[in-house]
Amino acid sequence: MLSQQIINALSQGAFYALFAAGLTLIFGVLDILNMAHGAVFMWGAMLSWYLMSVLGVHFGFALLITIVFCGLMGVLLEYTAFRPLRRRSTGHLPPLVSSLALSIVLVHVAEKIFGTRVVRYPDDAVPFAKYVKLGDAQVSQLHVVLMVVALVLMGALWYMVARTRLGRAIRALQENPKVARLMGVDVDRTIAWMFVIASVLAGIAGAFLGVAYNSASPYMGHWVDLKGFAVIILGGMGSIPGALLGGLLIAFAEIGTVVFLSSDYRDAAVFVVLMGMLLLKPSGLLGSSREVRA
Amino acid sequence: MQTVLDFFGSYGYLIYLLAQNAVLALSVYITLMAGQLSIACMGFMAIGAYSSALLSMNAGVPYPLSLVLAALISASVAFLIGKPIMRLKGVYLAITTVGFGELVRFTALNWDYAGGAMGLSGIPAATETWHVFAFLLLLIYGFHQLQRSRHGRALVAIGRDEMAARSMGIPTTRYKIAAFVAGAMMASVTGSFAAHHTNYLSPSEFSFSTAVLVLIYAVFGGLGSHWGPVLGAIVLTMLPEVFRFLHDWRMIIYGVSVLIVVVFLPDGLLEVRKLFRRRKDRAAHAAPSMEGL
Repeated sequence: MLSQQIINALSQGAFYALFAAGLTLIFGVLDILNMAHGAVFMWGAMLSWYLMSVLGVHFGFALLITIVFCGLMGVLLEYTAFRPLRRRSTGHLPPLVSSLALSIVLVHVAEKIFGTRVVRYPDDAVPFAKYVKLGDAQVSQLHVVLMVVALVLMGALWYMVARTRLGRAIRALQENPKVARLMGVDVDRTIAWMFVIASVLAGIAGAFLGVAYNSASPYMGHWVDLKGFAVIILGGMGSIPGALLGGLLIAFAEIGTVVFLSSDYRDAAVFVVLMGMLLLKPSGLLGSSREVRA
Repeated sequence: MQTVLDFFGSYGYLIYLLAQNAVLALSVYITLMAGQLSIACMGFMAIGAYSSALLSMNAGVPYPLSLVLAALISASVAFLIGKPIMRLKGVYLAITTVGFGELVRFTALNWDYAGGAMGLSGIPAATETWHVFAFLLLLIYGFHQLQRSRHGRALVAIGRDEMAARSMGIPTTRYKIAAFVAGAMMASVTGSFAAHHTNYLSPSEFSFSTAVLVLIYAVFGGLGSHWGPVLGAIVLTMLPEVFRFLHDWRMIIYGVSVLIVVVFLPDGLLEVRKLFRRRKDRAAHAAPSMEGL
């Protein structure tokens, strides 16, 4: 029974990490909390559901379309909510509110297109639906796939930031945007790519979470936004390995609460852990000790 | 006369909400004045609502007294958590206060004495719509006085540049906590009003999504003065009603309007003042800026 819970926690934690990776990438470089991240995640889930169950598209193909679509959504975010505000230097409150406004729009457009119900996936459309026995635990193959996909994508993201040309531009921006521009980094382009990458990760997380838990709704973004914030603070804002660690920690705190206390306190556990962390070490487990206190 | 009564009959609750949301927006504004982004308003509104409801239902405390006691409870909670969390800034503070709001909601959700997930019903009715409006007017007067006082200028100075304010001898931590406590009390009073107005409370009323709407009211109206949050709350509360004929498009229009205002009007709706005011006056007007946030 316990091994079952541990595997659940691992898969849940990998999912949180995947969702939070995009948030932490944006925050680490731009100091902006992207409140529309959860809305993009929701679109990933709803769009792939629509493609699979209404249009009968195969999961792999639906995932591909979802990736392209969510990438475009990242471009939309950058052009409507963030770039115009970057033109005048405003602190982090206006971008927070503009992305909130955009997320209201995205949620209600989704409501209009997909309806307001919680939707379920057709049985034959769900891939990897079998269960495997791992010791005395029953594990859904889908949860294992979700975990592997999350780990691979986080590895790829880390590689991208650490080793590629785009990654170097991102790190230069994080260091000092003015100097980066002087050194020939196309700042706007780099930031646009960051939003594309973050949104694609959110979309994939949505598509997989939808099938893994067999449910999706236009409102699923709110819940996961809160978890994402908790994850990036725990792990340290801007740190990709930190997001993974934070995601696992949150998932284990949740599952631990369910096992040892009661499922009623599951969500409260997250915020207790979060507030404890903020009071002890606000820069997070693996965060750079940039100034977070006044 | 009959038409006036009819109008109030169908729009009474909306009119009530205009004042309630304006007060909530002011409660967020006072912490923003000191450069602190706190979204704890729903947490304190819930504490105010549940405290005064439970006090009047189970201890027989009369209505105005229960309201005051609830505000004092909220103030004490704000004071206790204010000291550690006011050390945080920016997004860290925002997320912590969101966490606080959610913790309050979970407590209400799991506490059977307070009705749990079923909510609390049978709260004695006592709030008239004018009570909230009177409170709002009182607050507007208070903010008017505050903005011209040394305390108001101290808050604005902290909001602009905390280090500079501190080196000028302003006790910044004390001011930030004071602003947080004041905001908590305002939110708490609206909560008590709401409890005795609708006679029913449910934890879901105090969610994260409602809290961020209040923040949107304030920024949409503009942070140049206390009129901004009031104006923002009134306009955005009415907007869905005005666009009712657009059916399910209205929330999309709502989001787009907020986006346009926030992106193109740095000073929110208060930007319209600039059409009427000469440049000289504007420069002399000390207003909190969003730069530090």
